[in-house]
Amino acid sequence: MRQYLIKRILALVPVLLIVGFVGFLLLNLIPGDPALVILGPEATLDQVNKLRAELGLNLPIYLRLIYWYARLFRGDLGYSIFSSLPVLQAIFERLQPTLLLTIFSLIIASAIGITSGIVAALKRGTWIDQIATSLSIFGLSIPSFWLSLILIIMFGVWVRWFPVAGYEPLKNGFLKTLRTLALPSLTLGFVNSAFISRVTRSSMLEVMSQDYIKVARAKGLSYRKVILKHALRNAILPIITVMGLTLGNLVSGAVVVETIFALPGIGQLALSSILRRDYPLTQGILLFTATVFVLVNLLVDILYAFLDPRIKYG
Amino acid sequence: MHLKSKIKKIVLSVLIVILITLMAGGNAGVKGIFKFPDTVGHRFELEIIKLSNKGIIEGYPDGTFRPDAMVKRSEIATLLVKVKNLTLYKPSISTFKDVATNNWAYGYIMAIQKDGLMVGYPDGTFKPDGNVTRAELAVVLGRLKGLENEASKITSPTITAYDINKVPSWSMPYVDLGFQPQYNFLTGRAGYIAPQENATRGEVAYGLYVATNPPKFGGTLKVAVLTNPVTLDTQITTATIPSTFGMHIFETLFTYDENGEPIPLLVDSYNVSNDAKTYTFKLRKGIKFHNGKEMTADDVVASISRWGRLSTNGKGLFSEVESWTALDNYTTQMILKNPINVPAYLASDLMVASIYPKEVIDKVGDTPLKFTPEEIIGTGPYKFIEFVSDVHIKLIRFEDYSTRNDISNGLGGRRTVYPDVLLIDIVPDRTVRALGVITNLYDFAEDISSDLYGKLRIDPNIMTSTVLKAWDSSIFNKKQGVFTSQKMRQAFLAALDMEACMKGAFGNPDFWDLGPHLMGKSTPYYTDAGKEWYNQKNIERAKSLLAEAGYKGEPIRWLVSSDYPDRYNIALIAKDQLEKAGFVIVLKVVDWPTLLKTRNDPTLWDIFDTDFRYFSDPVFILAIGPSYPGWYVSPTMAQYLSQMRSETDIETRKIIWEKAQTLFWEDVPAIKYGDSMILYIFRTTLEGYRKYSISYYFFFNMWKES
Repeated sequence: MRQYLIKRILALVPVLLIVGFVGFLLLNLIPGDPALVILGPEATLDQVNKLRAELGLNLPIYLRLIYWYARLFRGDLGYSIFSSLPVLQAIFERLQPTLLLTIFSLIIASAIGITSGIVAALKRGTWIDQIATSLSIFGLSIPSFWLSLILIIMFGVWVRWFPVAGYEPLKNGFLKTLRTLALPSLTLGFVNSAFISRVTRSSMLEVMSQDYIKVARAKGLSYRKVILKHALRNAILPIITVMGLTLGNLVSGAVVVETIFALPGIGQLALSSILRRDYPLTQGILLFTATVFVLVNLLVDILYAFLDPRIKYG
Repeated sequence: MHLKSKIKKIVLSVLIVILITLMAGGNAGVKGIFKFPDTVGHRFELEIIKLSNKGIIEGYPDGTFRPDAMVKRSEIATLLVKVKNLTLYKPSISTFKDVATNNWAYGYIMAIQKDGLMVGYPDGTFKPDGNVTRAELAVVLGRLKGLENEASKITSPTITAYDINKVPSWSMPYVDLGFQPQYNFLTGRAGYIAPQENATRGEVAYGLYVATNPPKFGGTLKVAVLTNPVTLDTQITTATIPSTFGMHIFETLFTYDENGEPIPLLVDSYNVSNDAKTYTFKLRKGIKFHNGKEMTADDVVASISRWGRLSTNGKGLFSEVESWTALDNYTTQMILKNPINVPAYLASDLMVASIYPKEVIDKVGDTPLKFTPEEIIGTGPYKFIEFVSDVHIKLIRFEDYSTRNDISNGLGGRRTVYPDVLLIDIVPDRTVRALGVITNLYDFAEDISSDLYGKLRIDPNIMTSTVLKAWDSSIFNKKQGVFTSQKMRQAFLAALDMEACMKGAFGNPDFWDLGPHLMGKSTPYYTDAGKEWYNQKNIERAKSLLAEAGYKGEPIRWLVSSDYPDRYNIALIAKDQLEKAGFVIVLKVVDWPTLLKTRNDPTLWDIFDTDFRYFSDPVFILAIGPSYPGWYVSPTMAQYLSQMRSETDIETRKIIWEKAQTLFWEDVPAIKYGDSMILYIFRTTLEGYRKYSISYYFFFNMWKES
């Protein structure tokens, strides 16, 4: 197992190298210039070139790539053009809201998704199933910004239960943080529950049609025990996969929700860094996101091994 | 089973429809706040409404308020009685020769006489039908506040104004008190106290309101803005948010008064030599930077020199500067090659000529200032604490701020900061900014959608302010391509229906305006010169001009940014009109940074779209200069601009500008479609807001009611 883990983690390296290269290429191919963005539309070409030189942007592209890789191997992601902070620091400062939002959203998405999936599977064909299915399709179809605004109006304006925007960091009090993350988590939770619900439903249906389920019921086990202990446990693998995917999506930043609720997370950071052509920061975020996906994938695979004794690595 | 599930389906559908309808319904039926149509946008609108809501002041039967009408002494007597809740007093014998016991205002006049608020004239008259003067208003308000004791201690004025010597001695102490920040119940008229002028209904309403609801120091003012500032180095940026808040942190040698003309700010006095080529500036003494250091001539010389190297109009000015030096610790001198109106440049709101400490300039050189309190150091009334990207900019009141003593006059004069903290939150979503003000999360928000205007106007807790922002424009490439021909440009102009473009892009007519003017109505330079060329809507004429120009159907590359939906929509509407005249148009839709990069290359485009903020001076208009993309080279226009640069007399400048604007519409270096407005909203608990001659908002002389 340990060897397996080490191999998987080492596999990160080529992934990051490739992601870094592709990111660098894309960023430098698109038109746009951070110096122009800083100085504004009325700057003269002289001023712009001067600032570009200072920012090291006038070096030939292959040299800049080589310097970037060199720094990367030393663990130095460089400095953000706009905030002058080290890229890693800039990213870490934004992790708190994104991580918390991810965790809460995932909990809500799983709770709604798995429950409704199980219920839909059990009551398959009935109107309960139809409602659950409709809600899933609704969740898959609605844009997150629409749901955000509806929730804001209902729970932020009509009744003043939650603030309409803004983020309170943990150091100001956990309850305050919770209040500012409630509506965004509900939005992302509902939207992401749809996929989990569908997968749960179909996975449960498949498992419940197995013979061993009939045997368990015939043996006299309670309905609840059969569903939760036997059926769900066997149905869980695809659900875990989907949860993993959802986790990856959430961490890379729910840009729309972060923008609407003014949450200073990774998503907003990624968007502003691209719009401002902040090359080092954008590349840093790309690497960060790639790492997260790889690690989440690994986590899901390990969970597989724990949940299904038939799966062994080594 | 079948029927049961059918019923369930119906019930469910009905529930969903009800839910959606509930969401669609707003809060109609809320009491309206904009009662008086003739006070919308008036300087004292908020105080008038508040005083009216308290039942103290009323409008006329026709629904108007007439805020600029005069106030009779008998009328102010009734107002005072209501404010102080006095009982009417009707003794059998009148104290005043000219107020009979059956006069409609008898009870009121006698009541305030008894209370000591107004005592009449030495000749025993009251003059009930005379108008209240501003000096009289000051005294009445001072007495209303019970400031007799304070007044008796004032032997000479602490304030100053252009006409301070005209203030009659009997009113002087109360006038002085009225302009002090803790009372603030008097307002100036473009730097004049105008004591013998009649007070207006608006001024009286403001005075009565603030006298009974005095300003409070303290608290946090929360403002919601659209986007992160890319820098706070005001000398190099033209973006709105950095310039707006930069002007809270930094100050300039000159700034704008109520009329939009430059007046001294950090300068104490200055003189100009007879040949208008030497300016000697005497700086105010004792002005502190946020780091405690005193501002001296060295800081000023270094700052203006840097601004002269890095900013467009700074370079424009310094191309004529022979020398710029410090003569002593508080005196600087600029010697010019040719006469130039220097104060107009130094007051500029485009790439602001802010004063930084010399040590900071020595340290950063020409690199933009970073977002740290070690580099963002100014002399302004607010001090920079921190900028957290996508979260907020935090400013606090600068306790050692050296304010001017002259009465507040536009951006000049006394600047008082009432709140302890100014927190500028970055809230990118327009709707959420508005909802934030509605739920009292923010006190003030900029750039709200005009779709919400109707709903916000009737919310009793919210004030709206529609401010002129910019004019939407298409710039022609005059260096290369089809639009090097003037006829082609004229043909383009002839085909356009400006009203259709603006209406289609902006919708609500409160938020856009038409007109050939390139300078705003609040500036002295507003003119409609060239109106015969503006909005011709003449497809036939366009066709014939195209034929004269020899247009052969070459595709016209039109660069437009999808980041700005309004401008994009204008392009779509205009394209349709132009194609009817025979133009062949190819729209190239890109994001804003790409547009900025692409427009520097004359081989890549024929037209690009942008908007131009309204500035304070015609010499700052970019579209008519030779170096701005579009590359307008016109000896006549250059001559007009050069004349305007050197001329200091306003009337002469206006005449030159009229000719220049006419030339703009004849030569068409660029198209102006129309004006667009921006909507600000704020809580009614925020006092002191007013519009300035430049399209920004400023949080000094503003306070929060508790």
